[in-house]
Amino acid sequence: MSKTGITRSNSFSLLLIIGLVVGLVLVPVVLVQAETGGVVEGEGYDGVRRIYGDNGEVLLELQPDELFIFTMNSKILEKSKPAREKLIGQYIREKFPNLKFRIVDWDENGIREANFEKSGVYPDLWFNLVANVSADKNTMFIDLTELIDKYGFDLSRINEACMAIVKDRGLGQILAIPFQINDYILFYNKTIFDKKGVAYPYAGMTYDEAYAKARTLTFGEGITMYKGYAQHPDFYLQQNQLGLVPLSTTEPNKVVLTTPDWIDLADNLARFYEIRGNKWNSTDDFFVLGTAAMCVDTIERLLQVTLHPEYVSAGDIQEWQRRFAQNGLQPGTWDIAPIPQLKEGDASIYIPNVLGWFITEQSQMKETAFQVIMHLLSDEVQIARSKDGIKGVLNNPELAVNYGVNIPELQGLDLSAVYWGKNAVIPVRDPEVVGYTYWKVDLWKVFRQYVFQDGYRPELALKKVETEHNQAIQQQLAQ
Amino acid sequence: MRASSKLTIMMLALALLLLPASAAMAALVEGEGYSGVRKILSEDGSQVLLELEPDELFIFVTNNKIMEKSQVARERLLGQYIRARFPDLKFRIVVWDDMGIREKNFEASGVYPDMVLELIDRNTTRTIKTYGMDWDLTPLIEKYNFDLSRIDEASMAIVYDRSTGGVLAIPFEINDYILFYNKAIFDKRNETYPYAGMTYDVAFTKTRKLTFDEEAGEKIMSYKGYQQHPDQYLKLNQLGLIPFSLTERDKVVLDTPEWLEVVENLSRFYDIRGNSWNKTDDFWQKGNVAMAVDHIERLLQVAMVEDYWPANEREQWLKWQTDAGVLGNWDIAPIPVMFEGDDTIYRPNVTGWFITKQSQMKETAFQVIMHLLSDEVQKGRAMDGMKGVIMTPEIAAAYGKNLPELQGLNLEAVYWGRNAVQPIRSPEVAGSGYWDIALWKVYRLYIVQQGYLPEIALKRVEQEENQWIQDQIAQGKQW
Repeated sequence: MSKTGITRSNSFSLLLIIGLVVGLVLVPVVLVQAETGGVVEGEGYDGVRRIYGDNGEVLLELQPDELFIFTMNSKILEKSKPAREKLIGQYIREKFPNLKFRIVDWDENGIREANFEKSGVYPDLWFNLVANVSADKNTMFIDLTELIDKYGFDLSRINEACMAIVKDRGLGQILAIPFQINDYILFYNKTIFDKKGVAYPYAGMTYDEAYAKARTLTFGEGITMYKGYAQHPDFYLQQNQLGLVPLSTTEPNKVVLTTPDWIDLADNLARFYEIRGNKWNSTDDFFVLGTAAMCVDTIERLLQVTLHPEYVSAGDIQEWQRRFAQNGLQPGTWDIAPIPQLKEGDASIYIPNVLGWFITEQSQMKETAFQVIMHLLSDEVQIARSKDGIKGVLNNPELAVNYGVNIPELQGLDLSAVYWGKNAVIPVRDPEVVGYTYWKVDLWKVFRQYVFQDGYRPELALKKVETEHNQAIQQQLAQ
Repeated sequence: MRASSKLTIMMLALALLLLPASAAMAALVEGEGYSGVRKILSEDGSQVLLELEPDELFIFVTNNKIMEKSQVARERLLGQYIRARFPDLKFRIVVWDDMGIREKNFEASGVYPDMVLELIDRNTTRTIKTYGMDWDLTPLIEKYNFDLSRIDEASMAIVYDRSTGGVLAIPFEINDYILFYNKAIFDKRNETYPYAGMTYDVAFTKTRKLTFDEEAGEKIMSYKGYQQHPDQYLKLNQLGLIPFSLTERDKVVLDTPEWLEVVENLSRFYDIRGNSWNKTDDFWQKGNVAMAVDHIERLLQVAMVEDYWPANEREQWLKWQTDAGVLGNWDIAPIPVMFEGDDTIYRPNVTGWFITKQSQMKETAFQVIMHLLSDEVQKGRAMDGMKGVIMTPEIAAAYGKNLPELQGLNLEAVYWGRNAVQPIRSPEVAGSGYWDIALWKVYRLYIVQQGYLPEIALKRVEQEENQWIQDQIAQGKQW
């Protein structure tokens, strides 16, 4: 242990020693607790674990039998401690009453990835976007296959589209268990629709229909201009409803963006932003300015703007209420629907924006952690979380039916929109096809750089990004 | 510390010794000068940033990138002329932020410049009046019989409007706007080059043809026909409009047919698919812009005039232009005109000389100003690339003659046409202040970002800015 951590005061170091002793005394006790819902026998740490800051200060202390859960990329968990208990903690507590655990969100107390390395202390369970971790670059997380086999954990219960991402990123391994989808839905402002007498969006509405509506709903009145439609082009491409990946599915180290499918996809959205007055800015045009008739945004945003006090801080609620008073977006003036469809009769929504659980290589509580994951993936927990507004990953139709029923602020909205349709399934590439690495493709450049800023036609913008990346890949391989 | 204070005392002694001598040599107007050394202090008063001798003319220069970056330019464009005419006059040129010296330091030190070069339109109030430096030059103009009618009418109109009854500044230099065009892009489409007197209608037709894409092997390029910064286009508009009422004080007027005409005239260019507004830098840095309106300072920058820019900046511009294939491929013309047969260019982007109220060398300063406004100096500076305010055919013909880097360009473009003359409001209407309203919102916020139609954008900004003025007045502010 670093000396700098024990420089505070005598009483502080005394406390540490006591903690250490207590911890050591507890270990055998804890091991016995395995059967009573604690740590799995034989698991746990030798002593107290400490996470240090840049100046050697102790940011966090963990007991030897304390499961360390690290979460990231969830605004709700980030901003609300009650949400951590409501959405994760309570379920662990119920099932494993004797298990100590600690949930820390990214940057809480200044704790980030670098602090783990520095301290030699790592989380046991890690919650992150599944697509962000690929096997070729992974040095931190274990292949869960062995544990899945040992416990007979049934992956077929989980949304196929989520599992496709897990399998594609895993190169034969299973690095993550999907947990929740921060999916995308369509928001619409009824007041603006009513001004023009336009029928509201509905499940199964095509982009062609949305486009026709967008044209009518882009207009000026008094000193205000309304925009018909706003959908973030980055996510539209990245999470596309055709399940396309920007890489070859047959050849390694190759970016492919100039197929008819990609061109259709880009053209399909580009036309909305060519409507005079319907410039892409951000979905704030809908929520903050109140001047967009439709926008596509996440479930997280839904929970934010419905101002549920367990998910949104008091300060944020006040700020949003002030905005709504100004822009007229009071409850009842807007609703949700599924995102539009590429073709009539389709029911395909985005590639899932899925978050899942990882177990670290360094964890000495791997089985305990896996048991926790299994419980969090149970029908019971997934339904309960769905009731609380979080879209889960199980195929069980009960999840959909129960969505949001426990959140008073969601009532009155068309909640069936949230689970409507099927997430687009990406192709799972063979490791040989993946090639040297999972190449990161800057899809944002297609619209935000080339189409919007530089004025390229979508087809040429795609070609430009494809060419640039393939050149860069060849250069990198040559090195 | 000790050594420097000794030095100070010595300098002081020396200065005191020199004072009668230099006065006798007729550098200073008799009876002018300071009683002791002047010290410019840091804002907290702890540091001496600059010391000025009692008979040293303190010249403060702002809003001039060339003099900011090049010591050689200070001598070439200012110093040499003063030295030639007043060989015994001590003077010190300080450019804004040299040694950290800004207007606040004058206040903190109680030491003010004798002469200030400032933007007349925007900063007569914002800077000169704010720091209590405004001083009416009328008595000196009369005493020396200085002929203001020699000076560009449009520049004088700004002086008169801003000075509310007096003459607070003598115009000196116009960082005017010209049209740059990329000959290679014109040639690709076999389009004739821009010319003096070309209307916006003609430029618009060219823009449509010159907005296109091209694929040559691996190289994919989307070209934009036209880029003109909308903020300056509005603010310096060629109809000579100002955004204020001519009959009522503290009132913004933008919802008029003339303003609408000005706004629509440019917005049509950015409605051309592929010709979205981004920035004029693209002309040299990306090489994808056929025509761009930018200023003379930019001309001297991209021509990489040796005396005016640091070597690393010139190298950077050389690299950009080489990489983008524009080096040696561009020329200049006057900016387009609003009507066939018209020769009106922008309202002058003019800087002028102020003499401060605090100066004890006012007549000396005025003599320097008179010399700087002589035909001889204005011609010398024009030969060195600076557009002046005395616009005789001889001076116009001399433009750029001394700069090898400008040869081969159509330098007649620089002095072509007449600057738009703004109305001069009566002092009661102009008010003592100058409301620095957010005219940029018309385009960059509402039209470009929010997709507003020009008419609604103008109405909205008029209303918002009138509200802002009323709010400012309610807070007891004058501007």
